[in-house]
Amino acid sequence: MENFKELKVNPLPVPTWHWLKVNDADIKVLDEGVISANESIIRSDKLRTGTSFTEDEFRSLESGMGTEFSEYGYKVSANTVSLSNDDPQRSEEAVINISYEDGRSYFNSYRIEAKDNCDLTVIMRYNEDCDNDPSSGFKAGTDTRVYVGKNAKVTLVQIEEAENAEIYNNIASYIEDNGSFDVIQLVLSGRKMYNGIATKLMGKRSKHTINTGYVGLPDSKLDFNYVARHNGVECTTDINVNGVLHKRSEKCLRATVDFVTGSKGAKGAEKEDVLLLDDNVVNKTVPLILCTEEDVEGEHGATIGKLSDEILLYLNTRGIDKDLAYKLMATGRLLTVARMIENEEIRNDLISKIDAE
Amino acid sequence: MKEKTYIEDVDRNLYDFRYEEKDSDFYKVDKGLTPEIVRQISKEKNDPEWMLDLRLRSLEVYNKLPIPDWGPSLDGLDMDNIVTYVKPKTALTAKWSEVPDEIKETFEKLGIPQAERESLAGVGAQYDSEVVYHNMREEVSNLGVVYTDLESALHGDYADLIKERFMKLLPPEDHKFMALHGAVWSGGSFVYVPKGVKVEIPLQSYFRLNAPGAGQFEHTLIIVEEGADLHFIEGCSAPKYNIANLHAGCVELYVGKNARLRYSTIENWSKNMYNLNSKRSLVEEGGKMEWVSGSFGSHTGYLYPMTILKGDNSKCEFTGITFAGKGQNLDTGLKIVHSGKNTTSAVNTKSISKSGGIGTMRSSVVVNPGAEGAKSTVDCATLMLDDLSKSDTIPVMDIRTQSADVGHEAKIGRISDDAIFYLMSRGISEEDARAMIVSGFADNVSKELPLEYAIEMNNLIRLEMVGSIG
Repeated sequence: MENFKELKVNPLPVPTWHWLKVNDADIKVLDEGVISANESIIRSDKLRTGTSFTEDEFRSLESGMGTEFSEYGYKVSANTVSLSNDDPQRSEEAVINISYEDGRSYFNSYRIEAKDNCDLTVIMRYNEDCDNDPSSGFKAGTDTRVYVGKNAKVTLVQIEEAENAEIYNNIASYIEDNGSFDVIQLVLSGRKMYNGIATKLMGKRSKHTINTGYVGLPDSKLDFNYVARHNGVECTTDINVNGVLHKRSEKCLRATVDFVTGSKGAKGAEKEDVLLLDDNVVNKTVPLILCTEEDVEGEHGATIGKLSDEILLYLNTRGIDKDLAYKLMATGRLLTVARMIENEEIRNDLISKIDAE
Repeated sequence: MKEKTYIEDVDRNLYDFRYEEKDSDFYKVDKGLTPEIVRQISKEKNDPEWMLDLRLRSLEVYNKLPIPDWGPSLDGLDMDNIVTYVKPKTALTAKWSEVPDEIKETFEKLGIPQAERESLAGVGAQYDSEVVYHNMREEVSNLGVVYTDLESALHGDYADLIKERFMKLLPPEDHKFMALHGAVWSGGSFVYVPKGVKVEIPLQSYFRLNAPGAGQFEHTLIIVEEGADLHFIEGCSAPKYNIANLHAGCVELYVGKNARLRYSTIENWSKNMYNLNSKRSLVEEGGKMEWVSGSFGSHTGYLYPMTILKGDNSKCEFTGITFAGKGQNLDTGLKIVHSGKNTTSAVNTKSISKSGGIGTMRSSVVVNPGAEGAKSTVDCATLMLDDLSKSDTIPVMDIRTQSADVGHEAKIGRISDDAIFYLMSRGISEEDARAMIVSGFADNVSKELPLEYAIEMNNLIRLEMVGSIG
């Protein structure tokens, strides 16, 4: 008999009323028998496979999915891939294709490091090859921890395309002076997805961006928790989330910008634009600003619901009817994010797929 | 080094005066909360049977429910040391001259009788646990408007209506302090505005908690019938003591079809007060609920007026300001539920934190399935005046209808150097420029406050914004 464990994940940094059911999310994961998923990693030989930032240091970082999930990951993860760029002369890229095959539970860990003045891009694609019994689905956890050195840059691209997946994607990161951590996430498929990113902007003038595009397919559930802790002077965060929800889909986005005392001159912005394509959807948006520093600028904005009458009228005058207008605006949200991917081959592949939907 | 604006706290001198109360002037129950105390209060108030049952049921609920784990700490609040019922030994009167001298002098210092003469249609004044004065202009009374203390109404023509509505919008099960209220409530007002009647000038209830270590649990029930119109003002203050006081009032508002209700509150409790007040409004088809809320006082505050837009085409507007100064932890905000079709809500809040004060803006906008065409806009702005203070913004939007149109914006920041520079280039001193900007920040909210109706509120809202460089 399988031994399952219940976890509270994606905790809101400051809780609110329980009746809204947004303070965290409940998941049930297999406590034993979790295996590593097959990975194919395309990278140059110059990319090192060890990191200077120690495992203890990585584990001390706050993660987006929270302590319970992190502890779970440490326990069940059998395989950790470490990627580090220590050559300031080369911008490195690694593409990790993760493939899931049957109804089992998986867990993979990743440690990513760009040392001072270095640049590293990591692209992770979640795919499936479920010939046996696709209806049974699978659970796939990843724990990704990122260190960004001084004047360094890490770009993390994650593309979720596995139709039968229940994905748990836990990210923790730490940024030094003038470092930059950019995240691009595209959620194009999947039954359930729990996605948490926590970033500590420790260095002065450090930067963090998250650009996410998602589609909530019928009966799917998406749960996000983004937390940006501003510690350094003049550090900045920019979170942009664009999504589309189909019928019976549920989505919760928690996005927190935290200005810690001493983060003078820091700026943080978070924005979400959600297009609801059907009734019977559940869209929850929870954009927090926490502040104990006077000299900061924080803002958030959210637009949720139907297309505005002005846009519909404009498109209608160009011969585009309402249904086509919604389709264009829905794909447009995903294409905007897909076009941010620098890898031309992957970018074009994704654009083709989105256009074909 | 950047310069800071020094903003004085709200001037409380006018509210901190107090008279030493003699035990012989008051009837009090023992400290704490027991079934015996609840029965004692009920007996003292000559409750109907159903009310005693409600009180005892509420006490059971209170004992079962947990303390909230999501808001400011309530560790300093010990119910075993709170006196839940303090009754001045005076009868309710409609003649100001019959109010006992000490109580009369208290309200005169707060400007209540003057405001009544000049700009109000009626006034109710509660001192500790009981209403001591209630009066309404004859011409308003002649329209069929009822404005009286709730206890009298419980035994009058509207007894059945009150039984039908009392604690139905905010039942004891809603949260722990609503259950507490249900058990020990006392005082408050009942307002009934008949169909089609428009009350041109406001009614005001003023709540004064004078006894140290006491709780005030007034209940306000307002019913505005179809096509009627009312502006109701609520004011509250207390002198400061070194021990905790508690306010756990309840406001239930029923806004009928195509009716309008504006409910304005200036809360300036003393800084030893735990203000755990609850307010809820139900709006029928085409009705409109307007909230104007200013929170300045209290040691700890939990205050989130809720509006349920039940009827099609119903509307809600919320305008609020919170000023959290030294030693204060004010958790304020709102809740709006869209249930009817084509409902609209518009929210505009401002928050200022200074001198170590903690201000939290907490909100929820829920658009239920079937609330087709719902529209909501929320705009929150926060000004941090130093880095000793803390300010959090915690909004939640839960949208379940495709045709909804929901927008939310929030900003947090400091006084802009560019704005200071601009004003200084026009010949305004830096000191004055900073003070002007802070004043302007609160202006779009404060202009909604009904200052013209009650001079007392001028005192409550007055922020001494003295710009100085430091």
